[in-house]
Amino acid sequence: MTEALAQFEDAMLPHLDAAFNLARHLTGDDHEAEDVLQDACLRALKYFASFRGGSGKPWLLRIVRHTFYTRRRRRGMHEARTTVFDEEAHGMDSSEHGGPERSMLREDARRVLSEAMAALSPTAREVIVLRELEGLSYDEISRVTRVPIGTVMSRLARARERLQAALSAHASEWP
Amino acid sequence: MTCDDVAVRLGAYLDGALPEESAEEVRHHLEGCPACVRRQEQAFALAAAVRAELPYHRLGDEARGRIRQTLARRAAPEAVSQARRFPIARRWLALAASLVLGLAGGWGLGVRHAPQASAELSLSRDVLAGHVRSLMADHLTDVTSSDRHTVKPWFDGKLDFSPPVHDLAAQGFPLVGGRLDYIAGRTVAALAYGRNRHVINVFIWPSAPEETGPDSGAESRQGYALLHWRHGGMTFWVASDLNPAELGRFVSLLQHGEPPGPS
Repeated sequence: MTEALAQFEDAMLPHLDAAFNLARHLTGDDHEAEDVLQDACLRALKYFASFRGGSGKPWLLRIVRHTFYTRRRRRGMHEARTTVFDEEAHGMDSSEHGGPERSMLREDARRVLSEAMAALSPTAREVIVLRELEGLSYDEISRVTRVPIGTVMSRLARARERLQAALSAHASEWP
Repeated sequence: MTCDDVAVRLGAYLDGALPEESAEEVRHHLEGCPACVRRQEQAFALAAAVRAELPYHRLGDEARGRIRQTLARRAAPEAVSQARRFPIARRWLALAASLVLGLAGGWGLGVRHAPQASAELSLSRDVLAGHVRSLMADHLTDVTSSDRHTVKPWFDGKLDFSPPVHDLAAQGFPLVGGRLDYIAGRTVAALAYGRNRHVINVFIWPSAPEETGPDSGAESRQGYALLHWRHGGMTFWVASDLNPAELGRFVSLLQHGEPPGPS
């Protein structure tokens, strides 16, 4: 292995799961997510010299995101995203938290949240993923998405409002 | 600051992203407004539900191998390396162990690799179930207050012991409240702390004479970290999805009451 590749792998491989998770939430599809990740990694390798050290995660996620939007623009896909409820991804161990009722509740919450996420725009979806699943700071999210912190704040607030509304509407349907 | 002003800022407040002056105004408002406290609990519950229920898509080993081969081909066409495997969970555990050990030094917290005694295993299952239950059922607290002088007396008469309650707001871990929970066949005190949008549950009960097993330990279960130790005749279990570094700091604060000095 070349020295450059070894350095790249040391800095970036720990963030491959995060990169895939973002790509998967953006594309909604395993294969497309892998394609995006593949392209993004090659791009990251090419521009690795411009990486200034520090945490590689925001740097790599920014490239993943850029790759996704570039591909989408090229293909002229506009917000067209079909979501298939993925049994495997939503698989759960119902034996763990006791009782069929609880697991049904859980499954429901899971389904409602997944559907609400799928209904969000990619820009709303990505702030949720970056904040809630990756735990990035507002500053890091601002660097990944290249918008001011104030915009991160308002996007996040709106996205959360939508998810909360979906959950509340669902909860009120329960007897 | 009005309730509307608070509603707009609540998310950023809980994320620790508000400027101090603005955060202080929100804090001040929350002290006198039960409706906004309720909204705050909802926001906590939503964040917990999102983190617990949204799938975190991990890259499969085969796809990881394909990507590394592509990179290797691009970097040096003649040198196609064999894909190494990165067992993420084990790396995370090792990281957790090193951080917790580093931060809570002297307390002998360590990651258990050996098979656990079945009593301890069922205990950690109980603790995890208690943690998840508190997030899922929207039942994080029975007494909601950031004031330990409100939370501690609330337990009087409900428990046959008095759990230590610390207010760690100044250190960035605000007390959210307390409740009763049921662990290992007994009623225990559960304290909820917040860290940005993460919830930390601390379960406390008097150590039973028949409690055996190690004095302390750490493990990772379904993406949650579980840490436990005994001190002053009490058994402490902490459950959270907070990252290991911050959780280590929290545990250290609970144990020593102050942040560890620079090492």
